[in-house]
Amino acid sequence: MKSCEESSPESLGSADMSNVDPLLVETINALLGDHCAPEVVVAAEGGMDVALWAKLEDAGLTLVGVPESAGGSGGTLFDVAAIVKAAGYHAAPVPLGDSLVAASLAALRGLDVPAGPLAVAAGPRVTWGPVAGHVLSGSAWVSSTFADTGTNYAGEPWGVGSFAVSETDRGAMALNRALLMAGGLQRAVDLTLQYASERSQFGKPIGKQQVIQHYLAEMAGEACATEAAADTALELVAAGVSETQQLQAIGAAKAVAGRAVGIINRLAHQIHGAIGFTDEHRLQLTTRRLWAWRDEHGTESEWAAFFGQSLVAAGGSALWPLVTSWPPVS
Amino acid sequence: MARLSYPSASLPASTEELRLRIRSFLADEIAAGTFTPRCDTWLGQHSPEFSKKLGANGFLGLSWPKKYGGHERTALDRFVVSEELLALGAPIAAHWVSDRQSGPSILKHGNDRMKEETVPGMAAGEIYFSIGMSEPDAGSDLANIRSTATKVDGGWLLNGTKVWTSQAHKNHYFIVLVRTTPLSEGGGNRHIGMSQFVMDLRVPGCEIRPIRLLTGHHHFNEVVMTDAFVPDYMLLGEEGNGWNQVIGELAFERSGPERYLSTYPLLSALVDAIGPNASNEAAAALGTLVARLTALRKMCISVAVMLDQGKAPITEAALVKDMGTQLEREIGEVARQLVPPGKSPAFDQLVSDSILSAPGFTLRGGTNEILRGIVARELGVR
Ligand SMILES: Cc1cc2nc3c(=O)[nH]c(=O)nc-3n(C[C@H](O)[C@H](O)[C@H](O)COP(=O)(O)OP(=O)(O)OC[C@H]3O[C@@H](n4cnc5c(N)ncnc54)[C@H](O)[C@@H]3O)c2cc1C
Repeated sequence: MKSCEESSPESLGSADMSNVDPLLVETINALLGDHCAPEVVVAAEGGMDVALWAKLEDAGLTLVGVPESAGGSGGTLFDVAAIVKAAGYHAAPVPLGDSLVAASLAALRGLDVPAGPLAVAAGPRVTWGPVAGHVLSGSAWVSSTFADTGTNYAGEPWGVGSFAVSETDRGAMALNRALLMAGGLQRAVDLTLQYASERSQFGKPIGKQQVIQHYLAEMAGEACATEAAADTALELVAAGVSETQQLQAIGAAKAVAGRAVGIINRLAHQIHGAIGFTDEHRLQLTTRRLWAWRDEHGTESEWAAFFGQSLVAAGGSALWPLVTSWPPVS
Repeated sequence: MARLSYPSASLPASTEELRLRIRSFLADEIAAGTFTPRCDTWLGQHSPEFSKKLGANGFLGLSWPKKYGGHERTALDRFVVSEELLALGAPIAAHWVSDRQSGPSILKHGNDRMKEETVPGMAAGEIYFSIGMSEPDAGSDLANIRSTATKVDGGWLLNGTKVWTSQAHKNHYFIVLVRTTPLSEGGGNRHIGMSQFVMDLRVPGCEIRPIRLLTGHHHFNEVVMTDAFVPDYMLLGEEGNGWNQVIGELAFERSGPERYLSTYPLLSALVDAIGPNASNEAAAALGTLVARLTALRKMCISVAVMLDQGKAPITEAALVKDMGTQLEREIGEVARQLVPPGKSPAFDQLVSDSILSAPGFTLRGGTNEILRGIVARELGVR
């Protein structure tokens, strides 16, 4: 992800989280919450939900993070992140997060931002590529022709092609997946908490069983840690630290998120019993997406190894200065 | 829907100057050979000499009033100094409890005479406190305490037995939780009728018996009080308000960076021990630990900021402590497998510190099972 040097200060804000517009958070959550009923999400899998995309476009939410001077809606990196987390939370069956990243990167590189859903080539396999009008490959938009296509666990379409790929874009997309996961993990926790309060066995809600309570506490902790790791990376990106440090923090966030998915999905399904294992239940909309996102743009072990190698290269005495510069002071 | 959240927070830039100051102080101390970094030093490495140096250099009582020897800085300044001391494995056990919880408790609830007698000494790193909560039949179930205080002329007579009292044989006082009203008069509410006292650990009637750790070290004690006299002005806060005060004290006890940094010196040494030619497996194991550590630190900063704003993030702190103490143990487990014994005596020492002190991490200050119960209650399922 590009540092602030290349962005106008208005467009890629400061590390002050208070500048996320609460109205924006409310708007995106209301819009997605109303639209993303389970049957709607399932029906869109394999492609995208065109009606939802149109609603988002009308509301100006697909161009947040692109300066108004470049035809966008304006807004900071934190505003973009808030939208991506919401998309993850609601299992939105549109390339909202990917498109926002593509649009803001393109704007930073001085490219025109075309209308319609966009994707980023950050590896040979481009999620959402087949439904995106344009794919950002380095500093150019390329038309989406793919040698092979398919869908991930969540029915999100991908295409494989050969594209110019930069580390920057790989990092941006990994951070995007960490943010999606932060949202999705919180949803898995919320759904499970609700279920544990409603489902009774042996004459009382299963949530009254201590082991279930402890599972829920563990899940809540992992979801919060994922958000903390993703926010840390975001703040470092916004603060314009070196690209190496940005990638370290993004790698750390993806590692925490991917690990959390393993824990939370396992416990969410365990607590839901057989019903959560069916296609009728809302839980699987979230857990399938989480399983897909943890694999995309680098698994937790790939990023952990990348991060770990950067740490051993820098040596033990560099570790504490790094730890204490995350998040940056305000 | 109940949900836990950690508002995104960071340390203010105003803490940076202090960080550099403590860092250079510690670098000088290490260079001078004052101490060698160890793990779990906030519990195990008791050095009055070092604590006095910290006091003399203005690193203790940071947020306390100047009137009592403090520095009127913020709790976030204390956070920064604490984490620097922990990361370098400095010998900080002597003053740790007084600086973290006894001082703040006394400043909040104590009377002037009590404050004058104890707080300036704590800020100077010269007076040390222990914690007198647990008893043989009151561990997790702290409300089950049996020790009592009975009113006599000019003070109180304390009777009963406290256990697991860390460093009582070396420290000056403890804040002890006892019953001042018999359980039978609480109308079925066990939280009624408890009080806290600041008790001099050297008074007649106070017997301190060692309980050795599995390493053979004398750290724990049993403190037996037999008509031990405590003067009136050493009643802390209100008679009968002990339970509420102790809960407040636990908020300080549970929220700090020592709940994920106890084995940091080993983590730091591990980086060099596996070295620049590390396999990807080793690098990934290290990377995962550091990634989790930084996420927990971000959460802990959020808790510290909430505390500084006068909020009571008790549940949020409990959850960080649950996750952090598990991470502390894992650091030892990962290190011992990535670096076989014999690499260097210093490294082996850190591994052995970590493995042999790990059982305490997830017990002290409230067990992880109890902490998860607190989280579950906040989530609304309990
Ligand atoms: C290193 C160390 C230093 C300490 N220093 C001090 C000190 O200075 N002063 C002081 O007062 N105390 C001190 N303690 C004591 C500490 O507070 C207690 O160990 C702790 O509160 C647990 O009590 P317990 O050991 O009696 O275990 P118990 O309460 O008997 O618990 C035993 C096991 O049962 C579990 N358990 C108990 N109740 C429940 C429940 N409701 N649900 C699920 N599981 C449960 C616990 O989690 C634990 O796993 C120290 C402890 C350690 C390890």
